[in-house]
Amino acid sequence: MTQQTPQPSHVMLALQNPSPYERQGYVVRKWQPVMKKLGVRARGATVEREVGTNNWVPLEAQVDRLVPRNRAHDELVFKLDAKLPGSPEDQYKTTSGTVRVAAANKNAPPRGATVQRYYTGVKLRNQHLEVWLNSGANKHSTNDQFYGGAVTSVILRNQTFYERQYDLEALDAITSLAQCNFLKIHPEARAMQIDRIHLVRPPWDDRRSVDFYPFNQHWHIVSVSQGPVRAVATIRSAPFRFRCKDAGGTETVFRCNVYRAVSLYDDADWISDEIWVEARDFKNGRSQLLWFTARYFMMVHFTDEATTFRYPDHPGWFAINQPSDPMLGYAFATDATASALWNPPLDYRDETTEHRAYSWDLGTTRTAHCFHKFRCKSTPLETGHDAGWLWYDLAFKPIRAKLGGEP
Amino acid sequence: MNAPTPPTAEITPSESIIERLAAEAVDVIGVRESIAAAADTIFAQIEGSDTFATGSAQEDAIFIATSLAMANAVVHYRTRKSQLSQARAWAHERWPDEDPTTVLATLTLIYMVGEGWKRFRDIAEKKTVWERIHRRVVTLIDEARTVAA
Repeated sequence: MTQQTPQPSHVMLALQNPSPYERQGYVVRKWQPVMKKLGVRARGATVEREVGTNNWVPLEAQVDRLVPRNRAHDELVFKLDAKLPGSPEDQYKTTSGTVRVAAANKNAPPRGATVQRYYTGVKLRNQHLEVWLNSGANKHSTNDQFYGGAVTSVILRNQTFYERQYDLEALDAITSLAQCNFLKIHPEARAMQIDRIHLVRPPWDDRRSVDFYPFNQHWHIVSVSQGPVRAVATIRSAPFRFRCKDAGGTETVFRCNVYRAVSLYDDADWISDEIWVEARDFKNGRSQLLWFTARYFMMVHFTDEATTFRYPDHPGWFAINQPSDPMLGYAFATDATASALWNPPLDYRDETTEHRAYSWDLGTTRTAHCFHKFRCKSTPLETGHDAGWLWYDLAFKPIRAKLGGEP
Repeated sequence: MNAPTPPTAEITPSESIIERLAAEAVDVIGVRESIAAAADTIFAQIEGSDTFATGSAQEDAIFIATSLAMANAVVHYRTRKSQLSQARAWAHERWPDEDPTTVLATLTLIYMVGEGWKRFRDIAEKKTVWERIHRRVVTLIDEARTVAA
């Protein structure tokens, strides 16, 4: 008879705040390694923060299965209830606190952030925003096949203008503020759309690199998940084939899909977007993440007087502002770098809406973490601040929870 | 005791100049036809703004702010970038010290209220409301006239 090693009832995670100042917020990490240590196939988790010796405070936490058939994408998310001290080195070296994680049967019910799955998309909602992520390629008719994977509505809730409360459509805020029946939100308005994926073959493969356009096909809703910390929906593009030669010169054919996990956190006024391209080898069925370059597209009404702000040598974030009421601001940040911003994009052909159309590429990556924030009554300085904050706090130096033995 | 009569909006010669400029502005922007096509909705919206503003601490300011939001949306609604640039240049020529977008929105509002006033001033059940609306906009016209002078 073999003796089994007793499984621990909980696992400790070291919290690392790499910034030189104290802060709190959300912590996201891969769930699978924690689950392995716990030795159970748990669908939920409880997380407690250490406050003094043997004193533990429960935190809001959840586990999200982003791709149900692949547990490697499962994420543990929790929200810190207090500020962690800063770290003087500005690096992930110092432990700023400890949490202990135990398995739970399922996630606790959601607080403010919820997700609802529909036939043609997903609605994410929290205290500040209501977001419609369109999975269908078409939206208004069967022929308008260019909405695949786009966010076609971002409602900013409870905006006060002229002593009145409005729920404003951020994608066409100037029209939405008019509250006039004949002024319709532009039907093609959309944001956060991945309209092109660029894949580069290895240098020994003399065929050129290739582009795939997932915007004109239906996306599949892979999963939706909600809990007390966030609501998240994972969508997957239609499959496409990618051929390349391996180092030995053998042709390999992959079946690829673009995945996106779009999340809305409890009480947050920004949207998180995680993107990766999964490639499955036709021969052996093995999956891997490909290096890719994604292009974002959006058609948002900032008027033709919009201003863009970014530091020329800083590709991590940028801000766009509309100068007149409702002074819509858009902040974008990524851990994958953002290229030049095109307004209109070079291949854009509609003269009537060209000033509303924007596109930009992300740098080559295997997983891109991007953050989007729309806000009214925002000056260029405020939007720039938002973008810089999103970049630093969420993309560049997020608070990490490290398992013992992890680098 | 009779309720006090609200002051009647006066049409002065210089006000007509502003109204003429307002009509010119909607042509330069290219929204005259859109306004005509949606006139009923626009007038109802203006009346709605008037109802909302009535009784508040700063009636005229609230009315003008909410109506200007609509006028601003009309200016930008489906208008091409080239048309907007042209219209801004036109506004800048006449009001060089003012923000041309605000000038265009203001003139569009003056035009829309002027059209409503023309339509409703002789209709008994609407006259009082539109007299009040017109009076609210007269302050805007006065400002425009002062700046133009």
